[in-house]
Amino acid sequence: MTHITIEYMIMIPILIMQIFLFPLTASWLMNIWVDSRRSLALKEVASHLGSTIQQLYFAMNHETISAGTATYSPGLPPFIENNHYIGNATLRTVLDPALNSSKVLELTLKLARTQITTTTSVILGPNVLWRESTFVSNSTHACVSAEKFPNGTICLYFGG
Amino acid sequence: MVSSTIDHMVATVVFLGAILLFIGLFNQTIQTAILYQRHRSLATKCSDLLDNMLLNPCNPLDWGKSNCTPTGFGLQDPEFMQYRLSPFSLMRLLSSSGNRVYYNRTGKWYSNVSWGIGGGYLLLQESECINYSTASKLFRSKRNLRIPTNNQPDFDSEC
Repeated sequence: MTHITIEYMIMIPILIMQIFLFPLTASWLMNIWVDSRRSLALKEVASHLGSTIQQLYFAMNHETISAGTATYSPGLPPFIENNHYIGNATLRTVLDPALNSSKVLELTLKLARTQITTTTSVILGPNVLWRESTFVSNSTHACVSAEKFPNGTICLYFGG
Repeated sequence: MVSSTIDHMVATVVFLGAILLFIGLFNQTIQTAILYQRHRSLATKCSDLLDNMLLNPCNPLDWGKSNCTPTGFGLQDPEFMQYRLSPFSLMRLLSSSGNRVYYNRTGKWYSNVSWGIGGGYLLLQESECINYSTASKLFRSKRNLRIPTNNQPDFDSEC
């Protein structure tokens, strides 16, 4: 009788522990997977947005295009799993600025209400400027704009 | 008493087997999913790199036709749009497949970009070619491109 009681005393806490342990483990592993999936979706959006900016710049940089402003809506999804995302960018030169070198636009996207961020880079020409602006995915006017000046300089910024 | 002990032994073994089976199956499924996502992530990064290399004519635009050192990296033909590469820019890349050629009259090494068609040769002076180190410096994207020592490009999946 004592033997059986001791077995129950060991087995019942183990069984109760399993009731909590299984869901917690499953939840932990699923969180890893969900974060990875969101991160991947954000990377694809960043890639698309970077490519859009690059193509807009090169289109405006063509000699047949005169001074003016062009706006393009990249057609990105406004939400990634019910979370909108916010984008910022910084411009830096590849080599010494005195060499009139190409510039790299570092684009950073952050998924709202999470800690997921991603960065992508696009190479642009030396005649580009970046106007400080923020891309908000769920804005009705989310777009990328490029303004070409008469001297050939192209100023890029997010609209919306 | 003996029957009870056998019951407990069987139950314990089945219980432990179920735990191991659950962990194994779940782990395998998650690992497959994570691996797939890593590959997708790597593919996205490669797509970014290719966009930057192939859709960018670089600076100056005619660097493939001149002897100047470019201040940016890109292989697109500046006279066209889309995915059309400049043959001149491509020829200025240091060949990693052709054997280097030493010409003793000039005392210089030449990059061999010959196709071997019709017995003709096309040699470009190495000092005027763009090697991987220079390309990586010009294509500076610290997390994107890592240049290993064996002159083969290697893409880093981290971002």
